[in-house]
Amino acid sequence: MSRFLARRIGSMVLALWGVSLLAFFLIRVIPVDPVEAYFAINQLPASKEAMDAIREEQGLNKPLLSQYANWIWHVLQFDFGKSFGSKSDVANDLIKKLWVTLRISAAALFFVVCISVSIGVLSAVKHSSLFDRLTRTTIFMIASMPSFWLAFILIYVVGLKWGILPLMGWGTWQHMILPSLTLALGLCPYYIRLIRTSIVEQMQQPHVLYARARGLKESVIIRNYLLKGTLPPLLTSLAMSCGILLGGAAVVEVVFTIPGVGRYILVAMEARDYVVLQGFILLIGFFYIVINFAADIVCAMIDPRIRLKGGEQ
Amino acid sequence: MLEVKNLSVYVQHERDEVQVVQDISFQVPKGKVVGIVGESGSGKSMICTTIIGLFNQSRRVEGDIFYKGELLLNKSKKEMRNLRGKEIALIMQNPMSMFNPMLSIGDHFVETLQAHSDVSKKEARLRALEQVARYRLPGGQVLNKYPHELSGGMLQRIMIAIAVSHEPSLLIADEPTTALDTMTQLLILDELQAYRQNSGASMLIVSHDLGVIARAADELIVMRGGKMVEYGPAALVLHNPLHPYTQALLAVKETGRSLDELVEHYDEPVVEPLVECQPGYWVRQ
Repeated sequence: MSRFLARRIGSMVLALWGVSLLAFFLIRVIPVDPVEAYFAINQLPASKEAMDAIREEQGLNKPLLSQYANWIWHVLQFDFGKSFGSKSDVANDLIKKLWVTLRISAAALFFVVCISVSIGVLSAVKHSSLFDRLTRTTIFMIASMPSFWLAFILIYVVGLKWGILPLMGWGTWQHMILPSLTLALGLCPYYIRLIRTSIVEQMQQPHVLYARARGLKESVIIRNYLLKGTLPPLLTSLAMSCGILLGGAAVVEVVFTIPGVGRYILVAMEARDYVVLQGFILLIGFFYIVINFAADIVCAMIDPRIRLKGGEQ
Repeated sequence: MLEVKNLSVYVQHERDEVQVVQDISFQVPKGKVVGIVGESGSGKSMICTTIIGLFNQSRRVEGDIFYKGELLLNKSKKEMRNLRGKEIALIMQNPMSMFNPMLSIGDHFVETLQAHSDVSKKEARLRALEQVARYRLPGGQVLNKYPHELSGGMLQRIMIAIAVSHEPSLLIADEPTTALDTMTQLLILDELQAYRQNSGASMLIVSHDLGVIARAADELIVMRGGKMVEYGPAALVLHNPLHPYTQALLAVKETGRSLDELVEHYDEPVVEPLVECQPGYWVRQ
């Protein structure tokens, strides 16, 4: 196990370094010059002297490598710099906005697990029943709907018709339900299918037949055999989805007017605020890698085969 | 103990229904061992899983199976579950793929014990330890091992130890020694024999290996293509077989030739009627 851990931590650090390289250099490749964009957005007279003065101030005239080294040096001390546009502290802003998005994403994952495990297990256990066929059709319908449309339907039905939840905005826990449900519904079709397929596959395993031959109760078989066997692929996929949720919740945040990181980053993108963008990419990358690392560790704890393989390789 | 009457099993193969077991009748008396031999595909394993009711809707069963005088095919799912593992235990082939890779051997013992008796995890663990000691498995460590860390022979012995932990009155062993080395084969047969002698349980052993059957069985059934070709006292069937197919099976080991060389008209199905040539000895003539 310790060798397994050492290996994983090593590759995690390497991946983080790769993300930092991408975050820094990809933004430099974008053809629009952030300084020009800054002048255009603020409708300032774009004289060459004024622009050079800003470049000097931001250190943009230094060689790229030294800019990168300087950035990394500050990031390691958790200083992401000041926003190019608003001059506010990026680390502070990002954490504040990310905290909002993080909570919505966590709630969304919670919904995803609840909904897709129960429906996935049911339709696998009763596969090719009416219930199974009905869910399959419904899944196709939901999967083909864009998330903003799902959001509007939820707002209309739950918020307007029933009037039980706030339509938009941010503040109480009730505000979290509709946006996270929207995000969850978008992911559920994939997870229901994943769980259903995995469980149907498990049911045909010889060790499940042997479990039945020993007279185990069906509930024990579902818990210790079917669900346990589904856990590693499920956790791995959920960890992957975290990236989508953290980085791609912008649409939902815009529809529900939530002050999350998605909206924040849209504004930064328009302004070509490279300081914010590279900080965002790095931070999301960090979360994504750490979450996947955690999922790997949990999988290894559940499945002894992974643990051993990790040590041998 | 167990009586099988006119058992036929049909399975769905693409669009057709194929009869894989045809009109089989036999008995396993109390304390006796009945062996079933035959090539793979002769329907032997099908009989085992049909007896304990482990099959899905794609299998259709005709005939009657009595256990202690009660009709098994009429029993509810719950009643069958209560019998399986407790009254009737199954030892299966391919032990390497029969254990849940994510559970330790101890977990397998505990869940089996808890399935039929109201014991705590701790008590179950203690009983597992006793069982492990009785079958001379390597002590407490084996309970903490995971299936992939053990050999096929060890897993097969563990499977026997688990199977007898509820002291079943009927043991069904489906190819219990296949893919094991000769030493382990003998060990496993000895363990099965020992259990029968101590408990007076009945046993049904299925194998394609006549050597295995010869060591264990009191009575012998020879199957071919889903049909019984010979059924009688093991001593008679083994030493003076009446049916040419049984003679060929015996000759395989001695001559080293393959079955399709030894059996005339190998590809043709068995058609002769089953005749009782002497009391309790049936053969197709």
